[in-house]
Amino acid sequence: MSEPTKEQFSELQALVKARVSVLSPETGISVGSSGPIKRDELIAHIEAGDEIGRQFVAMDWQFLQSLKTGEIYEAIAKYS
Amino acid sequence: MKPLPNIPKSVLITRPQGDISLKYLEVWSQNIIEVARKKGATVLNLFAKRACRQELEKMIKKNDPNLIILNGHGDYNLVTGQNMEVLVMAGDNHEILSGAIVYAISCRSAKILGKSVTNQGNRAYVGYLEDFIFYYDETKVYHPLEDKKAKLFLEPSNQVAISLLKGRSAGEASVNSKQYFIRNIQKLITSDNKSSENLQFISALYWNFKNQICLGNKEAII
Repeated sequence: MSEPTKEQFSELQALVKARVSVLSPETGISVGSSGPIKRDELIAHIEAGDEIGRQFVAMDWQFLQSLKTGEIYEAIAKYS
Repeated sequence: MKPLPNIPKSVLITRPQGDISLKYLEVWSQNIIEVARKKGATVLNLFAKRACRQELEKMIKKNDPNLIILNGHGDYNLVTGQNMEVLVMAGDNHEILSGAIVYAISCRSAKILGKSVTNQGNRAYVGYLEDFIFYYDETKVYHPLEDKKAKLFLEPSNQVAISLLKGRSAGEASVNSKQYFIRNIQKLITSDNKSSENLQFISALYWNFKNQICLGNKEAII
């Protein structure tokens, strides 16, 4: 999977932030060894572009790429 | 030819306590323990303060378990236990895992630790190349097994250990788990539930699906 360019990264940052904003405030996220975080903390990580924020951007980048390339459809066909 | 007698199996499982992530892994591991006991396996349960390096090394040396399940925070080269104590680290004591099939429900450890472990011996290491991510419901933290959000992620993960306990090979166990992740993605896609959170859950399920890997001997059975 190709890495996002700097420009793509900043566009993705905004997109991921918007998507994360729709999470319920009662939804927690377990990511990495820094312990569980809440929605608003995750938004702050994404805005700061720190390790957790970058991890989430990478996760969404991978997902969006899999839609573009059709990889997710292939995975569903192969594993279902 | 007479079938070979069933050799009693032993399963070692670390269940450190600490933050909510560890709480969920620890509680959801109870399902694995139940299956192991039903299958007649001896369960070596390193719970809370027993999830430490000294105890882990001692129990492996004494019991030579067939399956080792590591719950805990991790990094590319290590997995931790209670109070974030490093239990196993590549280049330090990774060889203690080489005689068993290992499933690490931990972030990132497949990348370096898993490779180090499977460079020696003919067993297998199932783990995650990057962070293992799951969502949970803050209103269910005192009842993690009733948490439907966490269930989406932790049931597929548990499938690795459950499949191994049911006699599947390491490679098959990982495939079964991946099928479960995909099944949950499909469930969310086709569900009548129009929760705006679903897309975020699908993205994380796909992330875990992609990052789970079986290293070493995929034919290995416990």
